Amino acid sequence: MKNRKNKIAEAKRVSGADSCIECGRCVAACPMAEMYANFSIEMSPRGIIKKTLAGDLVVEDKNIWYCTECNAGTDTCPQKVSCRDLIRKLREAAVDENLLENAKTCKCCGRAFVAIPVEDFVFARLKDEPPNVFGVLDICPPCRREIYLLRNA
Amino acid sequence: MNPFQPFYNMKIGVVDLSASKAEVIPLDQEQVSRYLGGAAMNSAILEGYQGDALVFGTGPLTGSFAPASSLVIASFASPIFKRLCHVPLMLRTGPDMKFSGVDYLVVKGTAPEPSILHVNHGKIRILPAGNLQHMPVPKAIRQLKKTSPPFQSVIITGPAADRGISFASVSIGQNGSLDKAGLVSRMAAKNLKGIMLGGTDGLPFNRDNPHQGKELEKIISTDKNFKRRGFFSVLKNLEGGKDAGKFLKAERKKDMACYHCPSPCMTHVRYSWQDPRNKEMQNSEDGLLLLDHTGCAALAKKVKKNILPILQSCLHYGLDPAAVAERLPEGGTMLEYLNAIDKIVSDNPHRTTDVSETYRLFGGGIPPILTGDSWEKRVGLAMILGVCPVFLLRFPQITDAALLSFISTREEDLKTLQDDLSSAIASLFSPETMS
Amino acid sequence: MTEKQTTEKPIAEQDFSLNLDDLRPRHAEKRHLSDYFMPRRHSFIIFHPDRCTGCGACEMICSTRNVEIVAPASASVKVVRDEKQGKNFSILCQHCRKPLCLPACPTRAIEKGDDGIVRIDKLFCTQCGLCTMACPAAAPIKDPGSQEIHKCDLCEGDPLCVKHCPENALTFTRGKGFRWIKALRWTSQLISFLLLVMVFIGTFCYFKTGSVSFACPTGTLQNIASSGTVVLVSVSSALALLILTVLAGRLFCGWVCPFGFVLDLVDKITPRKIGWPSFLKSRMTKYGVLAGAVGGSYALGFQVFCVVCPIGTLCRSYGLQSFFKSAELAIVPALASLEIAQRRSWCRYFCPVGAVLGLTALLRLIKIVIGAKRCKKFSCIQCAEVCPVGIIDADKLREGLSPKIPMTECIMCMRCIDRCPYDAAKIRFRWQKAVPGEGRT
Repeated sequence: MKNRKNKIAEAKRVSGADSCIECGRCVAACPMAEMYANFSIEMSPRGIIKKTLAGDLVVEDKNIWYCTECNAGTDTCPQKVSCRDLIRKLREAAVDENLLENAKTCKCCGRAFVAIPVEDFVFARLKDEPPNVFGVLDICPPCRREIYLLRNA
Repeated sequence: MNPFQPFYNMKIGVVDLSASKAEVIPLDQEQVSRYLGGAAMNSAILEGYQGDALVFGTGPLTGSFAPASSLVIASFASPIFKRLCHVPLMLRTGPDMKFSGVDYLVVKGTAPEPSILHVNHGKIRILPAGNLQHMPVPKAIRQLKKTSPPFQSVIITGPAADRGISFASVSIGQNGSLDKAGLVSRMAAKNLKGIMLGGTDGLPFNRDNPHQGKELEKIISTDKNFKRRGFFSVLKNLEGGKDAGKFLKAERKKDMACYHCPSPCMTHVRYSWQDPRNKEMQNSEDGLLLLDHTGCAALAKKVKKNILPILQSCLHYGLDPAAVAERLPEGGTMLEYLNAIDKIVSDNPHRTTDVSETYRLFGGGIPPILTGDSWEKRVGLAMILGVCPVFLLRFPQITDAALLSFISTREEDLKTLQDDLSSAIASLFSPETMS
Repeated sequence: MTEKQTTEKPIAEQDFSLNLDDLRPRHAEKRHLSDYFMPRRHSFIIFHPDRCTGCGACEMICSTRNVEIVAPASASVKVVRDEKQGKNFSILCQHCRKPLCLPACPTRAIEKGDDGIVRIDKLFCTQCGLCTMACPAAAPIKDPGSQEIHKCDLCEGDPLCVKHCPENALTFTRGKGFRWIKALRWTSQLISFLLLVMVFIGTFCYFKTGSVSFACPTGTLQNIASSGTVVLVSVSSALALLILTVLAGRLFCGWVCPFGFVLDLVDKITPRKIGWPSFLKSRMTKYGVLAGAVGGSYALGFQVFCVVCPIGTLCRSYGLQSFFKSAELAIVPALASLEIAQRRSWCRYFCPVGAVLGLTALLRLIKIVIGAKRCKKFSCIQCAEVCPVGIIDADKLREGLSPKIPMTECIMCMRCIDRCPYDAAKIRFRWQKAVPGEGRT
């Protein structure tokens, strides 16, 4: 537990979460509103920051796995709070504690490369299209490129 | 305006392994203007450090649109040749080093435990490498890819170095190198397993460079030597090289080139063979990149059979094929050769060498495509500017002026650059003894 | 306040929320007139892996366009090297005909332009990287420093990498120009139609004995079954057609058959297909029809199928003399209307002549292969779309595997070979194992 406290402290330090003034600009810029039908304040950047400042249960929260790490929130934040760094550190803390239900690991190299809610979004968007190449979505982009090389060269 | 500004990060990394400290400090502009870079600059830098320090340095043209601009030069006091040696390292190590934010890297002291360096974004980290001890080179690289921060190229020592074998040679990736001067012994003595280069940044270079690079390619494409490309064509120029082709029985050959090189002198070969040590196994298929011309020629002279499995074994352990060739008996069986290599790694016999003086200066690995004075001039030019020496040897029509024009096309700059270049080359060949 | 306004909800309760359809509406693809006659030929970059030496010049020059400095990690092209197998590949965006990155982008920043180029609009891109996640080749590349997404945009029509590759491993092309095969085939079909239907009336169809030059094999079989005699002249001319089939597959179906010509014309004017119910979609049905025709002829003593055969009806009854004379004329339009359900559905499911030729094609000497390595698979799939008998397995192509093309079903129209911009679809002898793109270093 002490480790978690340290990690969260570092997450707050690296991202500057303490300076959040709760203006909500990050929520307005966040693409998650378009991606998820159940987009709620809990998964928004502002919500995550609030939860981080409130305690350390945020590491176990599923809501930290919806973010795509695009950094749009940081770009609009007047306090330059980096929501991407915060999410990354929180996810690292979760991975360290082996809370991996929401992280997808690559079939080839084993690294966690995408959050499952994000991947589900991509699946859902692609299901209406004719191609059926869902197999590639189990593999991280670097490994995918190597497989492309082996298939085509 | 300093004409070198777009060509260098103007940063030098100083790693003190004994104190486990690494810092990146600005490069002295005066020195750069005087020595240009590469081997000459390395020598100047080394004067400020003790005898066992080693420095990796790029040239001004490394990473640019000059053809074959792939070079980083490792300068150190060679325990084998007993003098200051400059070893060229090609493939993509030079550009990757520049694109990691440092132009020169000095390593001094000895690390308390086996360590490996990681360079990226102008920062150097010293990471523990204890788990890589005695691991064959391909396995070690796979291990690094899994656990370390990402990197584009790696300079790594093999398990032979871990045992302090004098036959060992440093390896760029898993492909070996032209190190016959014992760079790896220096690294092993410092407990330095290798250097990983991140290579994700960039440099502006000169706006006209892409155009100039294409012009030069046009000039050499009319040369008849341009058609003769690949490893085997260069090999033919060497002693024993004509026959070497017979003993390199490959099923699939593909020419490979270093960074921005229009005329490949390396070949990747795939071959199948029956391992005599493991009679139950079927023919196994293997592949390796041939880049060491002198090493292969030396092996072919001794070993009158398919030398590819022997080369593979050398690369596996991180051994210098030319040195190994001197130890191998003539006319033996494949099994005898493979066993002999294992014996070299376990027994560490004394190493003899009969490489001439100038070749020693540059590590003993650059093939004698030209001879005498011309060889010296071309290689000296290459080692200072950071362009591949093999390429410049094969295409003598690329003049100093053509290369310097990449840096600047202004008349006054070119004059000073030419003078500085000549003096830098001269300084390389001044008599030097190991302290 | 007017009458209208008092019936509306107060402003505080009205819903003013905007969604992506309001902000970034998707436009339907514009159809040009020329699309009806020939498919659009967009430019694309072809990569030749056998020529690539892995020098990385493409990455260098591409990065100067993206970030104005030489930083190979920030290029829109990535050189992937396999040291063990000695292979190199430059991965860049293929500008797929149906891009997968397009639906995956949450802000609809990706659009396929009229010139065929798939572009990311930097104004709307949030750098989330979902396009890379969706792309089977992971072609959009995230800049390790600025986190921007770099994707090839063909340098707006003048690609730099093509100009700087020292080995010419990257070529910029619009694909094949004049479609020779298409021109020849339509000419052949037209001439066959004119000759068989208008000039030499009744020649092809054996039913009308007397002026026998070419004989339908199905008719010959029915004739033998019904009358019990073998007329050598007609058998030998039917055999000629069978020998052609052994040499060149069901070339008759694609290039000569006059009913096939009618079907192709109907197909041109009915682009939207309504589809068959799946229980009717068995290729075996035509063999059943053939068996029924021969068996029926044997049992009933006259050529059963020939009465209703559309090919025969065309050949016999549509000549200039006998136009609009008999009730047979209704057969051709009736069966041609099957085309509305699926392309060449008559040929796929019902035609007994095709059935005989299909059986003969078991002895074929040639085959059509699609080399998976040269094929651009998911980014193209034009062959599967253009095949009139639908025998190219698009799903297999998308997975990157060479589909096996059943030559008993293939009508050798060669539309796939004609259309393939990468020369991946070719004719090979049956015994040749090598496919395009493989078999060399």
